[in-house]
Amino acid sequence: MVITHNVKGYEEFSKKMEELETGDGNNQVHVLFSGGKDENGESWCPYCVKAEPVIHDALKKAPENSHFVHVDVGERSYWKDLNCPFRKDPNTHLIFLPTLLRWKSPQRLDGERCSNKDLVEMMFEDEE
Amino acid sequence: MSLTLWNSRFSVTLVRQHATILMSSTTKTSAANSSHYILNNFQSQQRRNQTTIMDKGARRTSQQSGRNPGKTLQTGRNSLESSTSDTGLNVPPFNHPHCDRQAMYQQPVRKVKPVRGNYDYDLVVIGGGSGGLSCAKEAVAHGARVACLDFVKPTPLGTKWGVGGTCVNVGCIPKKLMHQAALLGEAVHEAAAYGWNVDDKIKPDWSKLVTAVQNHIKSVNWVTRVDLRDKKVEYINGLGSFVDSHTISAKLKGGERTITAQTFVIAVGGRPRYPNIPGAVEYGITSDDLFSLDHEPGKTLVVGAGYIGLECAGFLKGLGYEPTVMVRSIVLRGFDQQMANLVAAAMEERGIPFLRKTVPLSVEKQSDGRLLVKYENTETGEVDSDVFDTVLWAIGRKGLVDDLNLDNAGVLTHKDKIQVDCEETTNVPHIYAVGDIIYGKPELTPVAVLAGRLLARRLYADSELRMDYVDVATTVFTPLEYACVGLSEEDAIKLYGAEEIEVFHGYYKPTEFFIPQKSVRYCYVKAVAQRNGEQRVYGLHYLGPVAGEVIQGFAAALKSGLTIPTLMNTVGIHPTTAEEFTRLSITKRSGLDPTPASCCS
Repeated sequence: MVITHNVKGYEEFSKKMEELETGDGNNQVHVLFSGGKDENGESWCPYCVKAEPVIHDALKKAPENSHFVHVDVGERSYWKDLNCPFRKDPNTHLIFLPTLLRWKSPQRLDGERCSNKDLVEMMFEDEE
Repeated sequence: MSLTLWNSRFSVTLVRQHATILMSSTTKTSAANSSHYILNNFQSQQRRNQTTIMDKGARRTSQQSGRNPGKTLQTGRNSLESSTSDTGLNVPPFNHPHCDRQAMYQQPVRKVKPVRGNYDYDLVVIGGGSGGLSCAKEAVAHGARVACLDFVKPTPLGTKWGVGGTCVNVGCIPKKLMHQAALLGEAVHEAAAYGWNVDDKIKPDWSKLVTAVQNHIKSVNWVTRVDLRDKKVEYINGLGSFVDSHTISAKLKGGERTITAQTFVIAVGGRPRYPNIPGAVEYGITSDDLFSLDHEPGKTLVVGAGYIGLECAGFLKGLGYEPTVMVRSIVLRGFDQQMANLVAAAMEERGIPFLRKTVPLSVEKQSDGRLLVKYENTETGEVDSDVFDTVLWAIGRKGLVDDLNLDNAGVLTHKDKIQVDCEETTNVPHIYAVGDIIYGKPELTPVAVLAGRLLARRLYADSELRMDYVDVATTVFTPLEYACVGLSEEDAIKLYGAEEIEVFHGYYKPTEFFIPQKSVRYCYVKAVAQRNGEQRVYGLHYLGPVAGEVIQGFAAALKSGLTIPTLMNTVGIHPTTAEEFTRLSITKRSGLDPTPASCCS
């Protein structure tokens, strides 16, 4: 089973990644960054809305015991600030939302490609 | 002029026609002897086209019969007119003589409509490098069902890499990045002269550099895999070998897979050669290993003075290692030799020793782990030796024909390459080849990319456009870069005779070099041109900073028929180094001093 984690904001995110790296460094960690949701559970980021079900569905293709971290980046204005820490972090270097990546690996999909089932499955299955 | 051109073209055609004399009628042979026939008699020309086609085998006859002869006639007339007529606008006609373009476009493109036969795929591309990938993606875009095989055999040292081919993994990309690393080190030293307070004891961290370079490559590999998946090209990580001319067997990680296809494109590329001397394979490395080497290269012997050897030696020096270049005969074979010698001299000035007329004899590992290399001077017969940390073979590359079992498909090889016609067809009509594997064409990524794309368009998109391999610009990324487009001075002289060639040249001083007092000794440009008439530019050569960026635009100008008067009427951008091409006024023939006055005006 894939172990899913939900975090909100940059601080929670960094703490979670540190925890996973020290605690379980051998298993793959996939991270999805998406726009925050309002009280109705709706995100301001339309591609994130589109991508989420595809990614959650494709998760079954991810390796056993791998981790999946869903990061709620926050509100639109926070994300649009070019100094947003998610953009500045050398490990994330986020430019687009949503972005799905394998932590500290070359595998990365962003924008519309995150809702392409074929590509998302490839991301979870890729062994290179 | 166009008559001369056509006459030279005839000699080629004539040879072909003699070969097929059994099937051609006497009228054809005599027609070929008349220099007027092609200009006046399109019917003969049409026949000649058919002969050219027939000599490549009876297979073309059926395809030819489907063609509308009127169309060929029209094409022939148009291309002749456009190339010789005076447009009235001072634009030189597009008939660069040493590019056999007219001849190329005169032959009709074969219309091989790939029939959707009983095959697994319409097209199987063997090799996932620049040429193969571009061909595969383009073919899919035009509706073909395509699989692309890619497989990298590890080097003797065990280095292997992902999809994308030489350029991305062990060629242009890592080379340019390491060259950039070296240039940055140089820039830091210069920065002090420009007022930056920098620690002049800067040191590179080889492992950090390798990690950064490899991370970039891995992300490119990933993007390539995504792109293939996205575009629905089936990517097969397997080593392909022919079973018969429509069947290939792919050796995969776990087992084998047999695949059939209507059409094949061979784009397997090449790999570095090793010399046949003791210790070469055990202790030497090649450019395949260098960019991911897990330890500092240290004092390095670079054997070979082609562009790969010189580029590696160049960035190794820039990174603070001590490279030595061993040259068997000449530097940068195939390039303009005056420029080649200036490149070498500029490297020697930077402290890179060149062992000339020297060949390696053996490599032995000493007890301290360092490598003892014995070598011989081929002129004096003197044997000498030296100790190095790394020995890098850069003595040439070999086409990867061996694993393909080409015999099973009936594809002929030439040395370790495959010969193709002007449509990239091998001797087997449904098997094509692009990229470094083809014989006698520039081994350059953009050439392979364009050839692959155009091939796919001709196969699946009704295109008639063929690859033009002439006047391709290129750059050697030595510390002082060298870029060129068109003919070398010696090739121009060979083609037209020394009396018909004018060479404009000049040394120059890049503005940025003054403050850090960098050597301007080898900053040099030259234009090789037609001496009389419209003074067509045959070749441009540039030695200096950012050479590739400088020459690219000029390449477009040259391809459009650049002349010396046009170049002289072009206003430069000041202060740049590219503007030196617009300031060329001294000819070699004049004997005047090509070194500039002390001031930049």
